[in-house]
Amino acid sequence: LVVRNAVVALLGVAGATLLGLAALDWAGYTSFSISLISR
Amino acid sequence: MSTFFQSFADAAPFSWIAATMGAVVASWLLAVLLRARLATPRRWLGFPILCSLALVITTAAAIAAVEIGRRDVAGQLGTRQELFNVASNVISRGIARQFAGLALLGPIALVFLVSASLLRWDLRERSAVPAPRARGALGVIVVLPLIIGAVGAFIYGLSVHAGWVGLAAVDPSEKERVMLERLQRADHLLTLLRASVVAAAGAGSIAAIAWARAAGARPLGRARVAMASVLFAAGLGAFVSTRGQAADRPLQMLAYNQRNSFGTVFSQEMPRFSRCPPLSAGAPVLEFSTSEVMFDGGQVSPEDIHDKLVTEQISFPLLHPGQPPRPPTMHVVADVATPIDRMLPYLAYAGDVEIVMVGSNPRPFASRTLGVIERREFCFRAFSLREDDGVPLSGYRTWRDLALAVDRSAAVLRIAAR
Repeated sequence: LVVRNAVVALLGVAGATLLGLAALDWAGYTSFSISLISR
Repeated sequence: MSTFFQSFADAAPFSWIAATMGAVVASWLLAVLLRARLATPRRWLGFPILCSLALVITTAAAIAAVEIGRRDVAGQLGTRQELFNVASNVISRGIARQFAGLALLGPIALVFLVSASLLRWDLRERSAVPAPRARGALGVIVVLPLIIGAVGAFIYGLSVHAGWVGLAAVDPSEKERVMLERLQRADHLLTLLRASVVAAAGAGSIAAIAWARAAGARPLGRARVAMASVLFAAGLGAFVSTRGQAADRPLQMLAYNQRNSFGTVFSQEMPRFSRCPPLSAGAPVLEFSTSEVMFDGGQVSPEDIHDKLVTEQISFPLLHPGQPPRPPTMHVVADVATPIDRMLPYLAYAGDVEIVMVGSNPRPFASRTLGVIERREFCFRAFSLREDDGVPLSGYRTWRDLALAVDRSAAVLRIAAR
């Protein structure tokens, strides 16, 4: 049960981490979008 | 709505800070007002659901604003011929929308943080045994990457916006270089933020194991398992769907970007060269378009060429004090199919002069999200035009034939203007 609980908690941590990284990658695309004007 | 976004973006960073502070104060007031109601034994369970819904809707609105802005900018991408029709107002609106959307993420994240902490205090379980410290730590650390992601996007937006606004004060010839440098710098900020998310994940893993050990063999409630699963699914979905955007980094600087170096886009097909030596200095431009011939933007006849070049030579030290005098030089822009017979009368009057052939090499950029983006770079190759000495110019049929000869020659080719 302890292992199961740890897995559930780690699942939450992994989900939050992936969301945080995705948010930063998504925001960073703005640089690419703006740089298109120099094409 | 677009006027609202425009004014919001124009008033940055004050509008951003004001929006953040206003939203945080409003949410704090709301939480304080609702405190008494929430602290009753019969809790209003709909409230947390309503809050989550509000969070999802506002975040989706901010993301949609950014996405619409990106579509505005990408919609102006076209073929080289279509570059003439680029609507700069649509591009500026697209960029302003992206800034406004990013600006909303900071207030949303902080409102969520303030409201959640205040309400958690009131909704906490009032059991006799205090909850283990590991549980509190885990709660904080799970939220941390989300806050870093949202607030990081907000700070990144502020940084890019500041760089963008500051471009107004930059010399026009330097604008492109400065803009791309600033965008690269903003990218470094994101790398730092990504590192802090990874660090938070490390701390989160330790906290997760510590919490599981502290909780012992007590079964977890279904709600918690569902929350963790939903969070993981959302994270995985968001991560997978943003891989294309993560792969597309800002475009690299082109030394002689065809679109910006001259401030003009040439629709004609100019020669391609295998080597592009750096250009030492600017010079007057003789342009052969389909219908007319222009010298520095003004129509010219063959007989006037010599006088114009002499005037350029005389005025050079006056216009560029302190710079060493340069040999008579002239840039020539022409379509590859231009017959030499059409050019010969103009070049024959030029006298002894260095001719810089203006070429254009394709520099396509393969993007993940928008496919191949066509870019072209000017490329300059010179030959020495002499009144008598050298290979006769009339020996070449078209501008392309001459360009091929110049490109193949290791030394500077000497061409006779006859």
